[in-house]
Amino acid sequence: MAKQENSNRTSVSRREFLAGLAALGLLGRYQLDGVAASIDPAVAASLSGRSLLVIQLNGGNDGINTIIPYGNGAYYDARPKIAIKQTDVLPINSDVGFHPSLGEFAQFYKDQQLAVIQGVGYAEPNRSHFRSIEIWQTAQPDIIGDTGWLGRYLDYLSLSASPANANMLAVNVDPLLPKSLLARKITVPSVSDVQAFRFKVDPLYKADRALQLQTFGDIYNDFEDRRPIVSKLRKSGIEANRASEKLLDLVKGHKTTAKYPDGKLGSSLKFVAQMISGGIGAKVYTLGYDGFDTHAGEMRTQANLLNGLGKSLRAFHEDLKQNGCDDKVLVLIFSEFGRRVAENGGGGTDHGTAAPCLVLGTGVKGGLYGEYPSLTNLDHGDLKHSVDFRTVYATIIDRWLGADSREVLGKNFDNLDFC
Amino acid sequence: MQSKRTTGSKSVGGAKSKRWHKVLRHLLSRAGFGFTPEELAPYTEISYRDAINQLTMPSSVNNSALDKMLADQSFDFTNPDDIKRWWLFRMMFTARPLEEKMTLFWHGHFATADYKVRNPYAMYVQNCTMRKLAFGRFDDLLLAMSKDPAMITWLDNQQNRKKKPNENYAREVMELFTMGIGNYSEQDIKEGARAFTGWQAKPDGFFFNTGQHDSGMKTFLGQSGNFDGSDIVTILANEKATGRYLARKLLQFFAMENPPKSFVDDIAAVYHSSDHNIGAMLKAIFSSPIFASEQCYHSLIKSPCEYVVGTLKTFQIFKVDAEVPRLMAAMGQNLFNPPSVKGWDGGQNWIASDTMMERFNFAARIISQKFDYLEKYSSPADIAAAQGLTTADETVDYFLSLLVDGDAPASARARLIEYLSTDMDGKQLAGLPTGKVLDARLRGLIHLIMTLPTYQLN
Repeated sequence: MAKQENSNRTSVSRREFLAGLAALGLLGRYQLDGVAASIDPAVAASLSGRSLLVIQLNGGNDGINTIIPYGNGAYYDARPKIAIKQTDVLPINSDVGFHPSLGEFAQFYKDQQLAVIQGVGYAEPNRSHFRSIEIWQTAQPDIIGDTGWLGRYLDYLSLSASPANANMLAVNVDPLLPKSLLARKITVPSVSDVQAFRFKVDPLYKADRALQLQTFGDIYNDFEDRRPIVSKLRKSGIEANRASEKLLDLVKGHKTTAKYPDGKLGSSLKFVAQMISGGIGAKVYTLGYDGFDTHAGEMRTQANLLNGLGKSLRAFHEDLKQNGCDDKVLVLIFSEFGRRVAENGGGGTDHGTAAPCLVLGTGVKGGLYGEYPSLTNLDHGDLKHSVDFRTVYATIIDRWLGADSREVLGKNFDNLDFC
Repeated sequence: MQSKRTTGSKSVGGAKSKRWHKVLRHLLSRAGFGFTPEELAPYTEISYRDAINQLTMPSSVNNSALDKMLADQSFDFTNPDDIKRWWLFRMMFTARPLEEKMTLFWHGHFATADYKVRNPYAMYVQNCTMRKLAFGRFDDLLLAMSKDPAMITWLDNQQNRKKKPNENYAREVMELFTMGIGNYSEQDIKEGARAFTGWQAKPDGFFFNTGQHDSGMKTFLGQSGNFDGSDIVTILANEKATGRYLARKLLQFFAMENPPKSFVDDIAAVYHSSDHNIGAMLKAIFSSPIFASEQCYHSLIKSPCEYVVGTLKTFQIFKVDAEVPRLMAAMGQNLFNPPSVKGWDGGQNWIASDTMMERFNFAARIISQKFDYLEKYSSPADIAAAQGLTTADETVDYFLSLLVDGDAPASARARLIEYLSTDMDGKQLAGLPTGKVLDARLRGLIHLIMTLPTYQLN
């Protein structure tokens, strides 16, 4: 508790200090570096090296069959075909418990490394995948925002980052950049397959690679063209080659005995572990996990997906532990919405609203947070949220990352106590 | 006469201006997947207006050479790799480029993916339906898609039953296929879902399961009746929002990323005045002065499809092996497998660090003597010889014109000339190198031009 109050106070005073400097026109990177460190070296040291991994469960994960209200008869009334049997649930307490495929999560919970935040959502829920994803990623439910919550955090951070680190503040481990990482000042690299991520040349003339890269760099650096689209391409091209050289080096040095499951999630998490233990210094990593839009045949699909999630994160955790950095990473798992309380005609569920968020890590204060929404007092068949998703973001920004959530989210949100 | 005005042609006795040629190349790049010199030539003989007419009325163009070619390949349409190769063959060798481009548009619009459908043959049938109805009345295409077996599987309408409706199709048909978000209520989704109950697929096609259809009264977008799916299709196709939504999407695909409202309104008006005719909308887009202007020229990012097929055409590499669709997938466009029901976001979303690197590496590969294959893909030294290129300046200018339509700053041109005039140790030469060094440098030159920001533009 003391630590949290301390870090909060520090970030606020730092913000005020920065604002003061800005007013005086004194904002400069080197000055800020020195200043930021001199505010409170102990706090700065404890926060440095910390990072956040955000995993998005794409398609709308059924939260009710993830954290199951098995002590509530209304659950079984609403889902005659797809309710999980009481005896199969992995209990948290006499009311709720984990889906049987979440054995690894139940273990994380026992080990006090998992926070389950119940009933997370937002007012006037949107049941479109794409709009709701946008709302979660921008953290701006009332407007169509053009920056993401993580992007705004990175912009905030870039004020004080040294130029050497500024180009790797975050890495997206997916082919497409999520809107959450759209920033004004920073371009975040996306790398889904690190082995393929290398500038190649004709294998017959390998010696030509250095000259080609040199020429490429010269051309890109001097490419005078004022069209915004060209300047975006220019930035991406420069960023791609810079990131490639850096990442391939990191990956080479990595060692672990952790066994990641086959498939994209496992290999993506391994890559994140490689970057973290290799000391790349990024503050944010993002990746997506597909397939949760279970309008039909939900039982099998969701069980497989949750099983893969648990096993992959167990390996990730082991890997980080072996490399001595498990206490430096916090994992946030969310989905764009939960699903309807009542099942539909296809052994599945239609789009819904509130759902649990999971926060995982050695630095997490495990436990249940928020209230499980009522299964009978519904809004058009859907759960009413009890926790605004921005409260979860604010907690992570303020307490885990030691920044100021007001700067990022535009207003104050209460903090929860999970970290 | 219209064509002269919109393209600024100063034709006297058939001679056409430089600008006219540039606009024609722009049209063919947008309405197709680039062109070989042989494909370009016939269009230079006709007016711009006739070119548009021909492109937007594909059935008027003989395509028997393609048909014969496809027949010779004996594709297995139940094989997921074969259907991709089949479609790439069509894009490469069709005499009706816009027909394939529109099929790609509809594939991204009614985005259906085989990773869930798990039936390549059904995906192939859907693709044929889209091609057949691509230019006609939107209502027909929308109805056909609502009854399409791959779509029914993809959006779970198989499970949409009288007593327990499944809302998936009803939601997406409004949000993504017709009006766009914000034009309907959650109640409209529920009522729409009821109308589509019992619309199922069987192995041989669409099946109306009357026992599972809810024939009761529905109120949908303010209208009431015992609606079924076809009534919903008719209501949706008549909505003003649908005209605007389709107009905007077509403009973003063919013309510019942020079309001004007036342009969207004009094209939407054509939708309504032409009884929902898609071909008429396309004609209006391509004939508009904005389309032919600098506002649109090189303003879009090439999709991986355009990037790959266009490159193969430019170098006349007529080899479509199974590797090609895989490379496109790595660039972010996996045919028959769009990332979600929203399709590919396209535009600037094609560009990320790793997709850029994939583009660069495709370029390296296509111009290499060998990669995984021992046979060479192309021979730039032969091209240079055939063009009679004797100096570094001439060579760089020729390939800049061929690959980026000359769209590169002077600094890049100078740096490329410098690169081309070095020996293998990087020592500057007085003129072009010769023999093996020339071969290496020409391949490097083309690779570097294809990594230019402007090579990513269409």
